[in-house]
Amino acid sequence: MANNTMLINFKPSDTFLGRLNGSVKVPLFVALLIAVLMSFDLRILFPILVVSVISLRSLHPNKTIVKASLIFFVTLNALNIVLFWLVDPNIGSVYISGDPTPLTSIGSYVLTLESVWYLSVRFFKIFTSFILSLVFIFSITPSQLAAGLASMKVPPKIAAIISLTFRFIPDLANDFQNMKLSLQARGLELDAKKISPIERLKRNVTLLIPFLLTSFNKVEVVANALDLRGFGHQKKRTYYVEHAPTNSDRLMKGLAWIVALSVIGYLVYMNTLAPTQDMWVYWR
Amino acid sequence: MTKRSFIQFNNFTFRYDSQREPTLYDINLTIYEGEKVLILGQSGSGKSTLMHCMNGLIPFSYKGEIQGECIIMDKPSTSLSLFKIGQQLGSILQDSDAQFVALSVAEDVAFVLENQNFTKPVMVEKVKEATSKVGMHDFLAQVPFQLSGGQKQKVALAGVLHDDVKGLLFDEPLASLDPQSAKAAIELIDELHESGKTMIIIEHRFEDVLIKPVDRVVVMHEGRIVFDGDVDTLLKTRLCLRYGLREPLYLQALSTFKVKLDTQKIWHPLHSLRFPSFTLPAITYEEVVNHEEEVLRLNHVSFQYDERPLIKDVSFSIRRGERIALMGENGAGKSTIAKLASGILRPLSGNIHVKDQDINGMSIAQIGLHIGYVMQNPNQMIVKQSVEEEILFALRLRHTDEAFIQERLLEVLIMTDLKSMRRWPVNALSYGQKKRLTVASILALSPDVLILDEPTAGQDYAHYTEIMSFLQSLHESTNLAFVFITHDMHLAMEYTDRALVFSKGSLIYDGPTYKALSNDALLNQASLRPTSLLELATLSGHDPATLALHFIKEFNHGQ
Repeated sequence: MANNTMLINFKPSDTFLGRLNGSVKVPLFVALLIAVLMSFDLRILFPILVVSVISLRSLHPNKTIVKASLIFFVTLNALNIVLFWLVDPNIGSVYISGDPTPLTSIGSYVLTLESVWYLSVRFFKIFTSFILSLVFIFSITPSQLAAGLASMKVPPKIAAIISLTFRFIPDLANDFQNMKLSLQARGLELDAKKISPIERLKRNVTLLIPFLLTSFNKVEVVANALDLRGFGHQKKRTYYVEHAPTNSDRLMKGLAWIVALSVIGYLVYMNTLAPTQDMWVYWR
Repeated sequence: MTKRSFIQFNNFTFRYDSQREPTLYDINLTIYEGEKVLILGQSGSGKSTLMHCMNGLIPFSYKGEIQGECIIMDKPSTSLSLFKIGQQLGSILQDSDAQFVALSVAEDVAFVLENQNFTKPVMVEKVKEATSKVGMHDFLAQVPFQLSGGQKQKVALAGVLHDDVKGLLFDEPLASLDPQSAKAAIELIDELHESGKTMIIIEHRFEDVLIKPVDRVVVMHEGRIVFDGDVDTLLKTRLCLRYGLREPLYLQALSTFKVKLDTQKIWHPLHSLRFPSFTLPAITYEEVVNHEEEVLRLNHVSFQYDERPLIKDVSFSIRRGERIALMGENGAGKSTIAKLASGILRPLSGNIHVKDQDINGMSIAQIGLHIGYVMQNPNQMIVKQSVEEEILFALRLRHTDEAFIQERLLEVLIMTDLKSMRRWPVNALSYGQKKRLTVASILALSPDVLILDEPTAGQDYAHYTEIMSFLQSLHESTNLAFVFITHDMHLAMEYTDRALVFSKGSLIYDGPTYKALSNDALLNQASLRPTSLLELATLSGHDPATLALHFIKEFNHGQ
């Protein structure tokens, strides 16, 4: 299986982000993601989006995958925004005080400047978190992820389960494919053109039972392999994928700290000093 | 110099908590430092349990009741831990894929080091050292999906080689390897033994292990040790036959030819064996011209994947009633041929005909009516809960006439000798019975060709014989063409008439099996290994092909 043909990379890419330690990438991503999810402030969201887009380009990801997931995500998100508006056309005024400024109306539905602003920012925010996540997925390998989680005090056992899952997904997919083919040869029609989607789903489910049973056989061997090589012998463990911190590692780790501290500061400020403040708007 | 004991069992009995009867009875066994010991036994003889007792999985992972003692490096195993035992004795499990737990070669080799909190520079050094011992140092960044079974096994070996581990324990190291890789594995084990390590090998492919000397053989049967001595003595006692193990082929052949061997002399290795000369009656192989209907034909078929040619201009045809061995090294294209014939893959050029009909326009399901493909692992094929339902599954998809369906079901149940088990739940079946069931479910569709992918892989001699005699009787009662994808030379010799040998995607031989197996150059080219029959022929001054042919005739006669 060649690298970069799938969503997940198994080998770190030779790029600035690819070379960073997992223990830098994971905290940085978590801090940035929390910042994005927490704020409705374009002045914070916009710079993060710009940096994310530049980062994504620097990783040279598989364009087809990016395009497909982009279309899927934008459609879903747009639908979500429209539904928000349909449920409460005046939603903007919840977050922005003052008299609503009507722009136009469709039937009994009024479109206010406040709602347009709020919903656009909401769209932008979710879009930013999506691009940020793409950067994360394309820049990290499952092993780096495990090392990064462990560095954030996630127990090594949970980190190991995550990397083992990635290790065996391609094998399991291959097994599933083989079983499907053997059933097709026996006469089970799985062709999308010939049967309805629901029937197809039902037939694929038939396959799931033997598939799960064969997969469970592996679990015992994997558990033995882990035990025999001393997994869990000590509470802490090191990770081969991690290297001695380079200057870029230190720089990005510093950035992660700055973001994390700012997020904490922002949270404290919003909750204690200015709990009733409106979201930021350009016209004030 | 006194020998120091490495592992010692004293009146050791073990019963799993989940079982009523002990799995191991009264084991007394001492393995000394620096020894190379082969542990033989059928499936279920207790050899895996014995292995678990040695590497500490018993008592630390599997719970049960222990009587007597197991002493590892002068300490009772119960007073140690999995980790402490692992520092003395490294284990290489049978399933080389599942024990590869990390996402690259280097990480997998470093796994044990990571668990001990080693720093990165130390790990890099140790990984380099361990991987160069097994010749995998150029593959450090490879992901598991890019490696062959033999390579994964080497990685597993490197992963336990750190820190001058004193002994190594191999669980059926040859189970999934082709003949050349198996030979390489045995040679590597021997090299490590030469460097002073204690080696414990659990296998049932007796003759394959014997290409390099072993100090001692232990035979297990029904949870007890029934033999503990050197190879030569074991062979002379003829205990293999009694305990369901396969004797080396040259001994089988000599006893087939009724040659009396002197038990005072050495029987192993073969080149030291002195045997009286024997004569073989003149024999000419009648080229049987098969006039049966042609059921499958490949015309100049080529196939490639990711620009990498996998099959290059292959042509052959198969007639009814033929028994064919499809042979070649791993990756030679054997499975690809089977997938092309069953329509799972489509040729890039050339064409494939099933009974004079081009399969190009046919769906996998339509081709499935003519070409039955039985996968290696029966668990990957069985989808229903009971024997009967499993056979009915495909029948019901193809036919609507209930009377016909029931009639065909009964026929198939009788043919495969599953009638008495027709209502059994599938999980009550043994491996061999499951194999029969998968064959039955394919037979129900009355195919013309049955392709079996490694039908006996990983099976001991008794199960091998069970599965193969079943297929043999099926061959006699039907007029199917059988194609065995295999790298088991014994299987090819005993159960097939014609061999198709592949190497690097090309068909390099198409002819009688016995000729293929007595052709040294051909075997080398296809990364297959000559059997000991060839050496026996040289030593006895007989023509290899004649000797092989005689042996096969006698063998089939005895069936």
